[in-house]
Amino acid sequence: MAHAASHSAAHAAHAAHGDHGHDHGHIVIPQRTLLVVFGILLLGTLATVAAAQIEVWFAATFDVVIPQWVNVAVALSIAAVKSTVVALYFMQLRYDNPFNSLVVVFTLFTLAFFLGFTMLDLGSRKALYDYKGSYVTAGGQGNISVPARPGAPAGAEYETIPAGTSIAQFARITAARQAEQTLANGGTLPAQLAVFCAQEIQRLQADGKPLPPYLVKFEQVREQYAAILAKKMGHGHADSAHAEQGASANHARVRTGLTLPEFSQHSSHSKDSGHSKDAGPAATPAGDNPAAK
Amino acid sequence: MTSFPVENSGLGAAADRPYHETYRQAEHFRTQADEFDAVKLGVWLFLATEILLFSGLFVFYGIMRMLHPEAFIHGSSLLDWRWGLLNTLVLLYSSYTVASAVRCAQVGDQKGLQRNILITFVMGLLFLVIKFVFEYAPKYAEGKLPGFWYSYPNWESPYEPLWWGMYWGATGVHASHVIIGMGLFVWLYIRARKLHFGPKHYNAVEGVGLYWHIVDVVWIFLFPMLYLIH
Repeated sequence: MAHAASHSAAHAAHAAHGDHGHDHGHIVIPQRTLLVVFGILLLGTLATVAAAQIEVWFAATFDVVIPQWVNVAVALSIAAVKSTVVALYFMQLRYDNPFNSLVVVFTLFTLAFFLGFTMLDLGSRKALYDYKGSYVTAGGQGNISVPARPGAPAGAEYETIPAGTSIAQFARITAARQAEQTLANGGTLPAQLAVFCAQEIQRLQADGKPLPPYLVKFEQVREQYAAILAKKMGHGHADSAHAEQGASANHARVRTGLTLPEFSQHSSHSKDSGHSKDAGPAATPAGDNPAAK
Repeated sequence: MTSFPVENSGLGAAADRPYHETYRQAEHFRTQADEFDAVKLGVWLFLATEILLFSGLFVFYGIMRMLHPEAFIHGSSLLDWRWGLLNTLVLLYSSYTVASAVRCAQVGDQKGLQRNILITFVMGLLFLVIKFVFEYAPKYAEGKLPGFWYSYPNWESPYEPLWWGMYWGATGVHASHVIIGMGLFVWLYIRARKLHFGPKHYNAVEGVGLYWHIVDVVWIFLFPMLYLIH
């Protein structure tokens, strides 16, 4: 081996035992190849961003529903091509001892097995018996202690989410509490809470329920949050019938082709409101307007 | 030339020659090439366990997105893909510089090796700064946190705490790999300054390079999966 022969004299003793060393992996990849690979990776990144933008544009322009798998398939295909290029050239698998590639292929096979069978199981549980696909409580069981949220009683380190209330629903309860306290003290609401109040008003009005005092107070000072609400709620008229579509989404979104039964109910009513349907029946009484009690 | 005491240098270690020229493989290897192969296989086996570590997160992602697509779509709309894109470019460039570092070591370009290691380190740092300052900090302040800590009221699907669990779990494990990688680059830089690496001995550069590439590959998948859902 030319490589071994060029070693120092000290090496000779070892080489005498029989030099069967190989030169795997000692290929020097030209700088130009590395640059080309870098360029391909940049193009791939551009492609994956462009694909996502085109998908939104296509769905909006032609008013079609693009199924979820298209988004997943496009994104993963481009990522797979990019990763393959990285593995072949930057990680030198193309020039390397094939045994290393075998390790990679075996790992990917394991990953596919792991992912494929788990999803096959969970995706097909209700194929025979519908109840196996059901959920107990949307978004969490509740009745657990969590770190105290803003506006909790002074000195409290933890507070308890009532049984049947999800963590998501509890976030709205604590937001209402915080907004109530801030408005009572004449303070200014953070952008997130202003949006919350505007959305809460929409939801209550859609359900034909009276506004609790803090939301009435919010209506009086609403003008000072006009800029925030215009930005975050889409149209600036948060109480208009169309505001819900733009609510809390900061860019155009494609309607999904795949939804669970409880969500298809939600989307069919999306023109008015759908919040209490999401939270599960048990969560509704506690979650709707705690401040009104 | 900086000299370095070589523990197993045997007969021919001259004090005026750099470490990478006088380096000899460990006793149980016949040749340096054998040692190089063994090191590389070992690194690849480690990378296999890394892929399996991340595969747990990918399985979690697959299940949760399949069961709660609405939560993932709305959750993703709360991320700004432009920061994700910037971080992708930063990591891709660092992958290029680390591949160049291996090449520099192979052709004995010591200055280029040191420069490329340094650039890679800086890119890792830039990635973390973007991540922490422009992504983690605002999300933390707004309560967009995993399950137990979740307090963001403006959700559209009550399953969104799962999405944030996915987001913080995947990017957190990835960011910890970036931090570990940066530590390794500090180590490489110190050794490169002592002229430890050259055409005949660059195992460490190669191994750390492979690790850094796998961190990049994970991000190549995470970027569209987290930021580009519609």
